[in-house]
Amino acid sequence: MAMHTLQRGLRKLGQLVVRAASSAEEAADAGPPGVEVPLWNWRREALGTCTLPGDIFNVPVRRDILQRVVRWQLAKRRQGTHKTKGRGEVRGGGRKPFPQKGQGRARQGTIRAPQMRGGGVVFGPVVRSHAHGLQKKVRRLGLKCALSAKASEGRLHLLDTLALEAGKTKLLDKNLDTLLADAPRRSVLFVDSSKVGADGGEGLRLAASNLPWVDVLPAEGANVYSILQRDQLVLSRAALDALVARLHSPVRPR
Amino acid sequence: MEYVTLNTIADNPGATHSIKRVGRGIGSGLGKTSGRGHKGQKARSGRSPRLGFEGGQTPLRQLAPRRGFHNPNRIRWTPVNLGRLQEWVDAGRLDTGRVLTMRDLRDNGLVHRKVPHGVKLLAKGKEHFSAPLQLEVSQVSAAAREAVEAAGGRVTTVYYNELGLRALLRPEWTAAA
Repeated sequence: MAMHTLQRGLRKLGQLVVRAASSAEEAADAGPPGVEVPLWNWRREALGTCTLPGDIFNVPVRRDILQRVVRWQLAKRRQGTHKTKGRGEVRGGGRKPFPQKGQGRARQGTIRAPQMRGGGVVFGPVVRSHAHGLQKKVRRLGLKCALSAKASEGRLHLLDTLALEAGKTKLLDKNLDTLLADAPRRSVLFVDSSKVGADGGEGLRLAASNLPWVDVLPAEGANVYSILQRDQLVLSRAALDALVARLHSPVRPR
Repeated sequence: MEYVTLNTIADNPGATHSIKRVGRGIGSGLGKTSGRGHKGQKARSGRSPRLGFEGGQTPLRQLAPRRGFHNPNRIRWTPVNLGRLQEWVDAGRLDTGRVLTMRDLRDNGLVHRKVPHGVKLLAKGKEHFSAPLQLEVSQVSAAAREAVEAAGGRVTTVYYNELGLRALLRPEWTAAA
């Protein structure tokens, strides 16, 4: 396995060596620039700014990759419990209904053949899984594209903490009026650090449970479908750190 | 601006294609006979006659005479033409300052990745060839050698047997052993 990578790496090195010297900026290329985002609290007061890493929040948005990731997500969640009976499974139909010759009718062998009323279905649905594979690197790129899309549209907001004074829906509703004052409609995904974290956790989930246009996810649950489903994306500091750490770790741990 | 939402994402055109579904109506072009024509053995479900069968007529395979023999020592040189070299130099993908071996030519994509015996330099495109290159290849045609030297370069022919060539093209393979 390592040999294959070594060969590939050396081949690439060979290409670089043979190529004539290109422009100087290639040597100093450090990825896309970071994105400046204000840090708010629930009352939408600016507590400072944060620079989001450019290689996660400022990548070119590949809509085709987003579509593939969403398709993969929706396919793998399908239950696949659909079934019809074929001619071998329909009850009955073992006997020849009438003799071969002499009736003046078309010859038939069984009352459950597909051309008969009440007969079996040809190639009908069977119970199966609809999940298919998608390269891990593509899934990761999809997440980066989704985050970059939200950031470039100005629909990504950073809060110091998503914890509420009490887990009350009324409270969250009022807070959202301030927070999303200039949003055309209310549709938001909150991402905190975990289900029992101090920056959201139980209280946030209780408060949001009866608001149909609010979703809450822990940091490891951040996925392309959920991010694109809702208009606004609100992250807490801790969630942002966890997400960045996850996206900077190697795709395939060696 | 068009926001990126679930209803505004799509795969690139040409990324997917719809499959052929036979027997689904006149408009599809594949209704009724489903692309099989009318009657005959090929229209039936189950098997068709084996490949090469011509209904009993002596098939072409049997009619045609056998010819020749197989030479296990046959050598096939992988060609590279001057026109292609010139394109690479114009794109800045070739270093004219040093001696280029067959390994450089293969790594750069100038020749096919499989090089069983060596590379031969040929002269297609010599009218536009003007780069001073220093090349080390297995064989070179007379016209190609003339053209390279007229442009100020040099061609050296070198001999590699199969094992030696593999060692040249893939040094990491020999290092492993």
